[in-house]
Amino acid sequence: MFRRSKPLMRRRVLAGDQRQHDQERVSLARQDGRRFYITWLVLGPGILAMLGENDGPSMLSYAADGTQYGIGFFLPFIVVLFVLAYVCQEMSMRVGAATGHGFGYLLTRRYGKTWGWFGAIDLILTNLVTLVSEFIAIRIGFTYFHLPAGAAAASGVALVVFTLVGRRYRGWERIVLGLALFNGLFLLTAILTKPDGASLAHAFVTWSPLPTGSIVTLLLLVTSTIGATVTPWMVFFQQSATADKGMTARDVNQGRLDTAIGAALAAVFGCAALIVGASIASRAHSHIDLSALNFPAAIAAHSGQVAGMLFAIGLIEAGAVALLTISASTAYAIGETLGRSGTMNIAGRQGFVFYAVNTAAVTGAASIILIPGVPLIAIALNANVLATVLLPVTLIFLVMLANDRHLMGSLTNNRSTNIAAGIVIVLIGACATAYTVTAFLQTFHALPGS
Amino acid sequence: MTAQDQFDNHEPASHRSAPAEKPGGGDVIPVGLAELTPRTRVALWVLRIAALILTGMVIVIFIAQLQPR
Repeated sequence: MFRRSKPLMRRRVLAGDQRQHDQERVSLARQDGRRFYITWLVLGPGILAMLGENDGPSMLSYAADGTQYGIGFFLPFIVVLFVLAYVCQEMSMRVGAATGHGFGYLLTRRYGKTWGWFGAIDLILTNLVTLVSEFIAIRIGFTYFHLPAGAAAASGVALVVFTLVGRRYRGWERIVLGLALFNGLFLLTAILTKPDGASLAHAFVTWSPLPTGSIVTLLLLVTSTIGATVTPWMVFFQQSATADKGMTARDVNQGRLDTAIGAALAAVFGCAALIVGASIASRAHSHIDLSALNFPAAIAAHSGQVAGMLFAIGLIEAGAVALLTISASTAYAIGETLGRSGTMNIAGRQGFVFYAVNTAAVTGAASIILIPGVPLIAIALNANVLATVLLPVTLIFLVMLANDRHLMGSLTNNRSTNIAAGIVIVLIGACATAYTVTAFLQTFHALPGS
Repeated sequence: MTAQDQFDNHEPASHRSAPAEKPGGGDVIPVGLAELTPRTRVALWVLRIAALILTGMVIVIFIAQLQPR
């Protein structure tokens, strides 16, 4: 019956019908009391947002933090940051489930086109820079296997196009979830580097030893680590994906579980990358090059070929999953802001904007890394900082939406969530401002003739 | 008949009317422009301008990093 006519339906039905179909699947499972099956159906947006943010540059950044400063401060700091990320992402999931709309759509419709476009332009800027960084990470992984930069760019674009062929959110989500599981390779690599268990326990209990160095370097590390954990694209992506998946107010508890699982996995894998860096730095021979570009080879020299290979594959996976989720968030944001096709569940001319933006974002970023002489490392360094600078504006609008009783009804933010969200916004805003102003003043002081 | 069987044999959603919609408990709800107080508007613009200034600073820092030392 329905299954037999599915291929035809795929071409005919509109996004709303497919969402309703997915909702009915959950509803029927609920009637049967199949709890695990309901959870399985709802899992996706939260895990993808969190593991998507455990992207190539973030994992390299965690590993570099471990190499330079050890695990003392950063191990518990990464865990705390993912708790903060949970606060933000739970809100975006709840707004998406309660309203059935993505963040870009609500920003434009609720606060006007000016704010909608500001949000979309911020996102395009940070996402383009971040996508370039993802290709850099994939390229580092490919270099370990002696593959050229062109292969990294071409395979990234091909992967994005391949996953979009089904033109259905659910199929896309399951493919990306399967890929995201390979983020666990960082944990395997950490185990192979044989970290000292006592040091790990000491770091969690005491938050020490604290990193030393200049204030600008420390602020850069803290700001970029925040930018490696919570970013504007995650808010856009999870809310839009929640709506596109057809989640409703009844699915909020499963959505919270999805987000919590994502945060826990991302924290564990992020800490694993930090431990890898710290382990090899503590026992590395002086001739080993620990720069980001040579990281997989340095790991291989320290812990064997398998560990180096796992880290390199992990970087390729982290970059690939982020390419898919970040380009999707760009497409959602532009589609929703334009008021056209802000969904993956739509084909043909009606879905043109979504698919064109998704593919163009990745192709544009791939083209940039192929330009000879492009400052790849400077781009990667500033990507997380830029995301952190623009995050507070996005979060304030998210909190406003989550407090909008007209939209949210009984799912409106409670007092404790507002306090937690306020702390996140102030902390991120303060770190981003402190680093940017200090680094800016230092830059001018360092300029010749100033 | 189990719920899965019902699902396999059910009529496609596109052939039926949409369920009733309500805030906080419905599917896709209609959204209109919110009325922001003057104080909120000013606060949002101050925040927006601050974010633009910081973004400009990050771009300057990025350009400075490209200069040969």
